[in-house]
Amino acid sequence: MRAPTGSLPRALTIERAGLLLLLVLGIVMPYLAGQDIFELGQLEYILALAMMAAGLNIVLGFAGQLFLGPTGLFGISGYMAAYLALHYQIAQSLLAMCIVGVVAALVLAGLVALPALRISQFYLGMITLFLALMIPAVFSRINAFGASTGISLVVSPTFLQHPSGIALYEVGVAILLVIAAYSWLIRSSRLGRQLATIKSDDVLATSVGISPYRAKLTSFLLAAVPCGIAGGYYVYTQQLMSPGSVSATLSINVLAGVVIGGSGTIAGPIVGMSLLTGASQYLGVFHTYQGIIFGLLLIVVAVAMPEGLIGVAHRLTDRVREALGRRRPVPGAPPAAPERAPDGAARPPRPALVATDVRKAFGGVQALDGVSITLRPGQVHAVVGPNGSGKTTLLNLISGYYLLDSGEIRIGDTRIDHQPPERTARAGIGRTFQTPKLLLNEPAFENVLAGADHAAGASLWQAVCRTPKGRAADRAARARARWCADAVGLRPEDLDKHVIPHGHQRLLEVARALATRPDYIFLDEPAAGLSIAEVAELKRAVEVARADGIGVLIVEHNLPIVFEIAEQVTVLHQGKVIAHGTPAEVSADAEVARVYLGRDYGTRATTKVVEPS
Amino acid sequence: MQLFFSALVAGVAVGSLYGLIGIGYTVIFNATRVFNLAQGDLAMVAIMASYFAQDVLHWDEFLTFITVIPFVVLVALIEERAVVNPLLRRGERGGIAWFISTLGFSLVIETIVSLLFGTHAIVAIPSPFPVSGFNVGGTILGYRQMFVVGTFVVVVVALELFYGRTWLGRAMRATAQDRDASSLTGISPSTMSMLAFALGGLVAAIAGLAIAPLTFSNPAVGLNYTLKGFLALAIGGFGSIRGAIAGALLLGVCEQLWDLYIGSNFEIVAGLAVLLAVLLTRPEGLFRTTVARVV
Repeated sequence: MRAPTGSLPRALTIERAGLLLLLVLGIVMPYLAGQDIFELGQLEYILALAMMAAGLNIVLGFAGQLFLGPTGLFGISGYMAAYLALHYQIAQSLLAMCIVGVVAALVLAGLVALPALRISQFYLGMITLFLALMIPAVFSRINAFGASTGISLVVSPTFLQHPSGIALYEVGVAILLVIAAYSWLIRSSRLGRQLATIKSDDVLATSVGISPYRAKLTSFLLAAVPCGIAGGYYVYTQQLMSPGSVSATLSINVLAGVVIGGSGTIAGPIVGMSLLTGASQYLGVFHTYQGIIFGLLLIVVAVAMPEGLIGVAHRLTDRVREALGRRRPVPGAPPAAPERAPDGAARPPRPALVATDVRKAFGGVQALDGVSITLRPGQVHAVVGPNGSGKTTLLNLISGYYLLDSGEIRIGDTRIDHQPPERTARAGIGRTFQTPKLLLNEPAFENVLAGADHAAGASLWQAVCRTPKGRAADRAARARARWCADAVGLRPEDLDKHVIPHGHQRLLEVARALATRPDYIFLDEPAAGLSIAEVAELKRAVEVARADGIGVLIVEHNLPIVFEIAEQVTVLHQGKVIAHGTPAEVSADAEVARVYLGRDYGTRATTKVVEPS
Repeated sequence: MQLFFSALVAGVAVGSLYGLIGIGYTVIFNATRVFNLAQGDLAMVAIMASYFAQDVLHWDEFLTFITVIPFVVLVALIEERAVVNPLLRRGERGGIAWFISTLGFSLVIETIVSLLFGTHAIVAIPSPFPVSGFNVGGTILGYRQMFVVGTFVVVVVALELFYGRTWLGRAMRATAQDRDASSLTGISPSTMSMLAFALGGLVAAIAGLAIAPLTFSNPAVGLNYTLKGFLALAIGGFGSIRGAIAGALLLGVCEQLWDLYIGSNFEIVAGLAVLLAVLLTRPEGLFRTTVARVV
């Protein structure tokens, strides 16, 4: 069985083993624990919580968003399913309850997420925790929902569990398996990679054309589906929905299950939640001290083992492999690099990027004071200047991270100022950052792939559902990513690494920017901290981009490099252009020499300039 | 109208309690960038401890105060050493780890207190102040309410003086601007974090002692106060003490008016409604603080 993603197979071998074990255990559990109604009810309760944990994992583990109130969604689903089942016979089947649950959860998730996602992580965490506190408090005051005693379906003469008994339990196991598959489909697709970018950094996401707001909202809605199913299954099996079913503490317990099992993995949250709930049901002592034990486990995970039980399992198996003298299997080797840029040929000639009289002030500081610059396709254009001269500000303005005070920026006839950065990225501007921004805990190749996905020719749903078109787009993105990684001089063995050396981080960023199929790429101090060999690779990469017809804007302190690769140089000083021309013209400019020698004497750039060579 | 003014007075009093919790957050957050999710539970520990001291041990107020305050500060320091400092040392900034570890800690202390006291609501401790109050134009200003508001004012003024006038306070404020600045003051980040938690624990203890005589409490109220304090901060705008005051008073007053005109059944919705209304119009809260550089 070949895994479709470069990063996942190692994780999957252990996760697959874990899931398989869990599945077998899950199926035979009633034969071990007992088959009377009470025992089955307890087992079904574990299943419902595990479904909720899998939902929480999508938003918390995949997308890294602080969602602390899964029981809010679970609660509304359960209440709606119970209410409708009590009043309408048609709503009394398991399927109907799950559908009602999903719809209710989606509506509430949308209502909360739409405003709450506009603000920081922080607020989101607290607002969703508040939601978990609010749902039971509100329903406990509404008589139609049974107030503080809740809704019991036992009183409904027409409500008969069908399926019932062990069959009902096994259906729950099947649902959980489907939810695990759903998580996996999301995680290992382009959508999963989008979520991974917002987990790492919003700015990184925008630089490859992903709208963080949209991606976060998507993750919330995706998470609502398992939470809603959990609510429906809970009500159907327990035949009861009360404020006590959804205390705020339950949300914290589910959070504990997810992070203890291993947030971000497929099997971890299900394993963690099942173990914790099972322990508190079957071990009396555990139940009494449940809060203390869960709390301590949460602390231990946060402080010492951020990857949870699955992470520990990975480390153990790695150690066993090492002891056996075997290498860890190489994650699904990225495809070999094609000879030339895939889909690079036959693109229409690109228009010039023109910034006119650009101004930007931060408080009282006029960072840019009427700067004009023209970038042409297939040309390397360097912006140099002392610290604080406005180089990075210019770059951030053009790529959309700051708003202009005045002036305009166009590509051909299209104005690109006053657009959010993800739009600018989609308009054809790729970029790197002064401090490299890379995906956390992902192999290097995934970073380039995140850039290549941007140009993918299939919708997200086709990618998730693995339609032929989605698979073709995925293959094309991989090929492109591989080619771009190769173009910047990264070797295949570099691409498997999770821990990436500094020099490679910069090269990876360049590869990622190239992978977005940009018309222009902006490199923010790409040579800082690179070794001589890596600088050579960088130069080669710039040359590849140039030859491909891409316009390169480079902000760099290392003037020898600049003079070697740039065809045009613009010198900024205190927010103004003081010189512009070919490297030879600029280095002969008296004003430039005065600014560098007079004001900035002693910096690395200065000493490089005055060095007789 | 009479009712309106009464609700207003009650709102200011309730808001003062939220403000005390909110300021506790701010004190810790400014120096460490940690949002302490156990803040409400620290106040809960103070409530329960003062109940134990006064109603079970029959201590007088003075003895209760001088015992409960150091005790809560001690719990806050244990929290800092056990769940915050290890992350600080690992160089963790922001992110999910803080939420999980401080939430874990709050779960632990809530469970311990529940095991000791049971989960049923315990009676409020006797207040040194009578139920009556001043009559101002028909509106009663209760002594107990005024005591809470007075406590809030004293804490705010004391903190402003501490931050503005003392060397240590200025050093802590500097850390808020730039974490590396703390090493320039000669105080290690680790010590600074302990100082911040001690101060946060002190504020939480005072909040708990102010709440204890007012209302019935049980070990589960901690999470409630944690969230209400957060709502106050979010409404007011993060990081500034002035924002915390404005947000807390607005939240308290809105809740009481909600009770008066809409009904107390769904009071819990009021806070979220106010927050969402504020955030939709002013995403940074009422008192906008600095906007961070993105790239």
